[in-house]
Amino acid sequence: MAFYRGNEMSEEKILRPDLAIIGGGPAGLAAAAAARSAGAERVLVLEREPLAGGILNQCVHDGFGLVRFGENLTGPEYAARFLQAALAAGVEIRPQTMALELTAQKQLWILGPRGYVRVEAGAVILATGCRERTRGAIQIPGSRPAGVFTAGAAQYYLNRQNLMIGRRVLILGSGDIGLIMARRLTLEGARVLAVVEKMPYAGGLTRNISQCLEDYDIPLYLNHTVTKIEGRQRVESVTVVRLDEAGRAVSGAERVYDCDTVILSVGLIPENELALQAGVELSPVTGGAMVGDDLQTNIPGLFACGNALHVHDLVDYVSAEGETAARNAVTFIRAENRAAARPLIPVRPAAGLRYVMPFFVRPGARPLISLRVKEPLGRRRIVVKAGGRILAERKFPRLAPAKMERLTLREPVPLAATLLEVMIYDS
Amino acid sequence: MIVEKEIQCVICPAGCELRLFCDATAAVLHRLEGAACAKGREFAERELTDPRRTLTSTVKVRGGRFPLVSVRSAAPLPKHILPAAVAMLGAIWTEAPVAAGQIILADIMGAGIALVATEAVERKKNDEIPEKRIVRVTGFLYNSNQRRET
Ligand SMILES: Cc1cc2nc3c(=O)[nH]c(=O)nc-3n(C[C@H](O)[C@H](O)[C@H](O)COP(=O)(O)OP(=O)(O)OC[C@H]3O[C@@H](n4cnc5c(N)ncnc54)[C@H](O)[C@@H]3O)c2cc1C
Ligand code: SF4
Repeated sequence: MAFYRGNEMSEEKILRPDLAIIGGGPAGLAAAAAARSAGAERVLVLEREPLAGGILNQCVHDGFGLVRFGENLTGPEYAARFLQAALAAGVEIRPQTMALELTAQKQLWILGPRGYVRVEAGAVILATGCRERTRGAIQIPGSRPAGVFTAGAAQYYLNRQNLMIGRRVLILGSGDIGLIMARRLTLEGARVLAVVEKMPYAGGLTRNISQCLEDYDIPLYLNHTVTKIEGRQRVESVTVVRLDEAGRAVSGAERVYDCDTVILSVGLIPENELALQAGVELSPVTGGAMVGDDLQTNIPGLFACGNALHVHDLVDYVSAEGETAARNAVTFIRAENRAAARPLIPVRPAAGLRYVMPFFVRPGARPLISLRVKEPLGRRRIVVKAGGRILAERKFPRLAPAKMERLTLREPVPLAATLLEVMIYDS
Repeated sequence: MIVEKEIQCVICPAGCELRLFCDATAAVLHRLEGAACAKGREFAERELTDPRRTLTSTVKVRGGRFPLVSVRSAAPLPKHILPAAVAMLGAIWTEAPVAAGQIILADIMGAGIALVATEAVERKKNDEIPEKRIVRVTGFLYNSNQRRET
């Protein structure tokens, strides 16, 4: 029986690595290599796709690695560096292996070419990335013709499957992937009619507005939305309307576009099915786990990083976060007495901030603080305080929701602190 | 006469907003505001005289594990030739295996810049289990091709 794989399977029913990492994207791969250099013996990476590298494999454009390597790399080039580093460090990567179940005791069940296996790891890192929101589409009235894609799906068809998705395209939402796809589709010969954004500011980075839209004269309509998608089999037309300050459609300000394709780029949301199963506390704002400065969730020994924790705009910071999670996971595995956990101090963001990562800090820690604002702001000063003491301060020429900003504390969180405040001041 | 122009530096993620003060033909840069580093000036001058962008795209692969290989220009290309260059790429193909960094074309449209692969694509093995054919039945995996053989 050529198909019988029983022997191969029965050799392992249970795996006991020091560290199991779910997801082989840039976060998981960086975490894996860092865990090995921090001294973890057996590090296992589980990746459901046939190739590790995560979403970067379909991001054929450049712009990656400028912060980390000072080089302008494409997605596959950036991913390859981390894959090679992980393999050279002696990490075991299992492709085509899906993590199916995670318990509150961080027991893991996985399914792959070697069957259904239980994993009991000293620590587990969630690096499962994010998925695309589709909410914008569900509310749009009209028929349900073919030709509506999320930006990431369009990117996959074009960049990996060699399938052209349409000729006349309208993009709803101005997230980075939508902007990147506007340029890619234009160069591939499609006509991108417009990018339509309901907010008064763009969802993506200004550099992408410049090099993806302005370079190709693609109009961006802020304060506009799609009210109707029509077509019998395939999309035939889309109605776009201007919105007033309160977000209501302005009657008479409608325009109908003849097009065969609509691309949705209305945001990303952390992928957290496994975390939910395990009972991880998730933030309603980020959609990711409410972690401490060590990136540990409320379940001891379960860590989160990368887009699974909060959506990043730069992969360089994703890799760095993976490494932080790994170092803390190794400390956790090593620690003899885990019961001696100190109390955690909450972090309170100022009203203008959408969120601050982490949600808690340990006294004595000197963490990196990441944050996003709610709406675009001009010159501002961000200050991190505990009691009356300023622990970090940085000036920004401008702040935008699309751009995650970071600052590191210049001194540790005081042992007596009870609250860490992140404030915004006019500069 | 001095004309003012606003552009965004796309060299790094800082994305500085540059204000250019140039002569009427917009070819000579007199003054620059808003650049946080020296590369901003270089970028601004280039934008005025010879704007360039890196070309990234894909090329078809024959006999590969995947139908496409991602590619880039080895250096930024003159911006105006990008559309024609991408159209030309649609008409060519390469043969698997492809190594990362392999030169696919020595010279893109006479610009003197090579096109290189940014990833590896292995040759398709005949005995490889087609990904979509993997079905799970009663606790083990088999592939529908092999099943026909038994
Ligand atoms: C479509 C898209 C385009 C982007 N473009 C850019 C860009 O141009 N520039 C930039 O700097 N950043 C970009 N980003 C952001 C950047 O790529 C991401 O921040 C980065 O890839 C996130 O890395 P990650 O490892 O957290 O997640 P991912 O890269 O998404 O990797 C997660 C991995 O986990 C695997 N996985 C998930 N669940 C399971 C499971 N249950 N079992 C096993 N494996 C699992 C997935 O298959 C995937 O390989 C983009 C993101 C997206 C989604
Ligand atoms: S001017 Fe310098 S810092 Fe500013 S975006 Fe350009 S390269 Fe980056």
